[in-house]
Amino acid sequence: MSAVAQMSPTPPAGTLAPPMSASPLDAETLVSQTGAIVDQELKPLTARVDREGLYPEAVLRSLGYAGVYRAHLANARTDGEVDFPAAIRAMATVSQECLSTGFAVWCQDTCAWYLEIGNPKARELWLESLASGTVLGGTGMSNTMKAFAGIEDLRLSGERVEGGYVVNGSLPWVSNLGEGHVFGSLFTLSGDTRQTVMALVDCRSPGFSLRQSAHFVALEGTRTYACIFDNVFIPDEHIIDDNGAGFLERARAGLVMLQFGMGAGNIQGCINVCRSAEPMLGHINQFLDDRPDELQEELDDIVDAVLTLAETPCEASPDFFREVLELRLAAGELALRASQSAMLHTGAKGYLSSAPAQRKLRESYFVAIVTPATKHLRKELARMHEMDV
Amino acid sequence: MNDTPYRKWICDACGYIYDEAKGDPDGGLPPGTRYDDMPDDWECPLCGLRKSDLRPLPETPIAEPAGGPPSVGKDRRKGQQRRFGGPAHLVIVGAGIAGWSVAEAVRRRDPLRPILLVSACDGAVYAKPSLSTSLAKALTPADLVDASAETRGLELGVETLTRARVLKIDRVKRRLITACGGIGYGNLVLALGARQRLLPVAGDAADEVLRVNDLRTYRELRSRLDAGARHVTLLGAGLIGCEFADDLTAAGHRVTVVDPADRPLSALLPVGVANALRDRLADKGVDWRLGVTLAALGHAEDGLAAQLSDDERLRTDIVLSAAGLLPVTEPAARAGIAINRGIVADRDLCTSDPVVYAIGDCAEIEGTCFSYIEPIRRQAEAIAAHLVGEEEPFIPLPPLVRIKTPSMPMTVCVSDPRLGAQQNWEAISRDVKGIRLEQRGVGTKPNFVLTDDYARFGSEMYREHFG
Ligand SMILES: Cc1cc2nc3c(=O)[nH]c(=O)nc-3n(C[C@H](O)[C@H](O)[C@H](O)COP(=O)(O)OP(=O)(O)OC[C@H]3O[C@@H](n4cnc5c(N)ncnc54)[C@H](O)[C@@H]3O)c2cc1C
Ligand SMILES: Cc1cc2nc3c(=O)[nH]c(=O)nc-3n(C[C@H](O)[C@H](O)[C@H](O)COP(=O)(O)OP(=O)(O)OC[C@H]3O[C@@H](n4cnc5c(N)ncnc54)[C@H](O)[C@@H]3O)c2cc1C
Repeated sequence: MSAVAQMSPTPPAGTLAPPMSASPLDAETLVSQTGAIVDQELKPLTARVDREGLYPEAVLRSLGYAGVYRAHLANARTDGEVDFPAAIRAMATVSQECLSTGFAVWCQDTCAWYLEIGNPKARELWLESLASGTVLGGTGMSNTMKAFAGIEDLRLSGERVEGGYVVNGSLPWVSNLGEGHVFGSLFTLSGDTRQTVMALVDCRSPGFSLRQSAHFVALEGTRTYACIFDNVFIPDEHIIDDNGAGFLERARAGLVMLQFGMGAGNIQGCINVCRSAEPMLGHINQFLDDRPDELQEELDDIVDAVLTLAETPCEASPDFFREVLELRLAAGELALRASQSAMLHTGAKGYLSSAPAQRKLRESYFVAIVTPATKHLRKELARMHEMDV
Repeated sequence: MNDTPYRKWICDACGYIYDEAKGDPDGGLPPGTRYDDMPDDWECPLCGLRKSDLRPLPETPIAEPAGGPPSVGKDRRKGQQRRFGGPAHLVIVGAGIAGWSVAEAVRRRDPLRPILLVSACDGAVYAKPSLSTSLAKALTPADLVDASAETRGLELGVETLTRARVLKIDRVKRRLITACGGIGYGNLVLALGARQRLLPVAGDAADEVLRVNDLRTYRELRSRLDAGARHVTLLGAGLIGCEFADDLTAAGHRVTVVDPADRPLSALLPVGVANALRDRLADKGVDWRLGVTLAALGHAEDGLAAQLSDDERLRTDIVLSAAGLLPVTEPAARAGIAINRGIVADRDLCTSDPVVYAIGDCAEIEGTCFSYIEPIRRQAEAIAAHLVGEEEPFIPLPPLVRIKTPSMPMTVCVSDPRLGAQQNWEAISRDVKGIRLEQRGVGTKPNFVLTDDYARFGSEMYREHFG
């Protein structure tokens, strides 16, 4: 199967949330509105998103309308505040129900975050559309992060031309894409591979194409494609930062911190599954490891730490980033344990193909393998530790 | 007929292996299709990338680094424990002299109580005052370390958790939150120390200002000096600034000292003594820039360009800030524990939360933050006593300050710090052995300034009064 999948025209904005324009909600209201959208719009679709690869576009638009994507964007808020904790909590509320949708929210939040901290010109052109969810977007930075960690080579290269760059290469697995979508990515300058440029790519650009090949065991509803760049022109107005390496350093803590929305949501979902089995099976489940109360304590510790760090997303010290990675690793590991536990707590009922437990099990692996993956994190933390001693 | 052996190719992105012998029948390529004969628009069946993203499969697997991944990484990172402490635990936060002193004092009185010492740094036991006197003695940062946290912990029967910054104190759950996991406590001791004040400096190299306040930052200073840095600009002519100035010049570095006051140690020393110190250090080569501040710091051709508030410019290699210590109060402040300048504690070192103590540079007792060693051991004893239900409150005493400038060593005791710089000092001696000043008639407490050879009588005079 190839090419851009079923495109639907932009649907009417969400039916639940009041028109929000740019005025931000306080965190509690945002989280509870997110919960309402999840209950009323997402829940009925979760099984289809998982099994049929349905892309929950209408839900994503509703979340945008409710203001979910602007919580962490000072430039898209009338009060100029930055509320990462609110963004993470809202994403967790979505991920607790469906990680495909939660991941799409992360893609959107992160793409907007790049614009927030990038060149003013690109920000003026795109930030508001992304913050409101009228344009949906993704991030093709896995290759970049792995390249900077010395795991692989950068896959895109660009040549300077009048008014912009011409980019060639390919990226595997970029999610939340489609016609009219955009995503942030980074390319090297041909001739000088040490110099990198961060740019916003418009999927409608001539020479750009999306390909879908294989299917995944979970996260199917995320519109994840391979991206082919065949002499794609990227105009100067779409350059987010001419200094790609410096940009990544500024963006990385925020990018990774936002992922806790996915991890925390998935883990909480697993704990809830364990608890739901308790009234009937508690007498026998007490013989299992990783009981819901223990998992909850570990999750609360991680969430408490993350929400504290998330108050200062622009803190640039290496110690701070080490803490973020340490917690990111813990979230991936706990997700695997929690989903395992959800299976064991629910038993055969969780083994049914319609059961949330087995879906959460498949989803939880994504928390542990999406960049920065468990092995990548351990490598990076070991490197930081070596440098320290 | 092509009889070169079939080759295998790997998709760069997803690891799909294209074996020419097998082809890709689902993709329309029969077995035996050579790479060269594959159409350019072929798509990888796993990830959708192109023929051009395939590369020859290496004959041998990519070698692992010799010995596998670094062992620290392996041991520490795999399946790490993330829950620590518990309701019976005494948890000490901070591995400076204060933190370790509490661990020792409590262990002496209570051999069984579980103790966990947590620190943001590596927890090594070292004498912090030596940071400003080691160059001249040719001591390396490693020489300053008495023991690693692990070793000292084992000796004392104390668990340690290092490189774990406490981000939050949850007083309801009695739990500390760190990136390494959660820590339950029954009692908590905050020994968070003090940090160097951050001065507002403009310019694109403002981040380059070093604040040496622990072994790690000291190592950084030393590695920059070892890398050939010649000229050091010191911000602040207080105790630490003057000590560093003397130590750096003794080791052959050129030093400029910048301070908004008109003389060094202006708050502590009488004018005449301060001026004598200034002259003594000037003789050693210290370049004083008094009455000014550093306005901006920029990157220069090779090194840094400093711009002073009087528009004077100078080329320098390192800027070291020693502009005063501020008690570390977060995360106590966030948790709603009473804070003034430091974490407010009574004579039992109890904070506003009765199960939480504060000690050392971070604590404030009866309005005073003590930023020196002497009170710490007595504070530690007071905490240990209080924990086992005994009474041995801490009694605040005026500080005995030793200024470790070998060019002009000094011992100073001023019971009220505001008196230091005043005029009514009586010169008891002023001769080849140094200066001895005393101030009488300001209460019953001793007030003295001793320099050079007289300096070593300071402890004796102090003990006469305070035992
Ligand atoms: C559903 C889904 C959605 C995704 N969405 C996105 C997205 O939106 N944005 C994004 O940036 N990423 C996305 N990714 C990618 C993801 O973040 C990870 O980067 C990806 O799973 C690969 O990481 P890894 O740790 O498995 O790397 P590995 O493949 O395990 O190893 C790292 C690298 O080593 C190299 N390598 C592997 N085998 C060999 C070999 N035999 N010889 C030489 N070199 C080799 C490869 O270059 C490989 O990339 C998505 C992945 C999935 C599954
Ligand atoms: C250069 C220099 C020279 C000095 N000379 C003298 C002298 O001659 N005589 C004298 O009496 N005094 C001197 N002092 C002062 C003396 O060194 C200090 O008073 C004393 O060392 C303070 O000890 P402390 O344990 O309170 O703090 P510190 O040694 O600062 O220890 C603080 C500890 O708290 C940890 N910490 C902080 N925040 C957190 C957190 N959130 N989570 C976990 N851990 C945390 C740190 O990692 C560290 O382990 C000097 C100081 C300096 C810097």
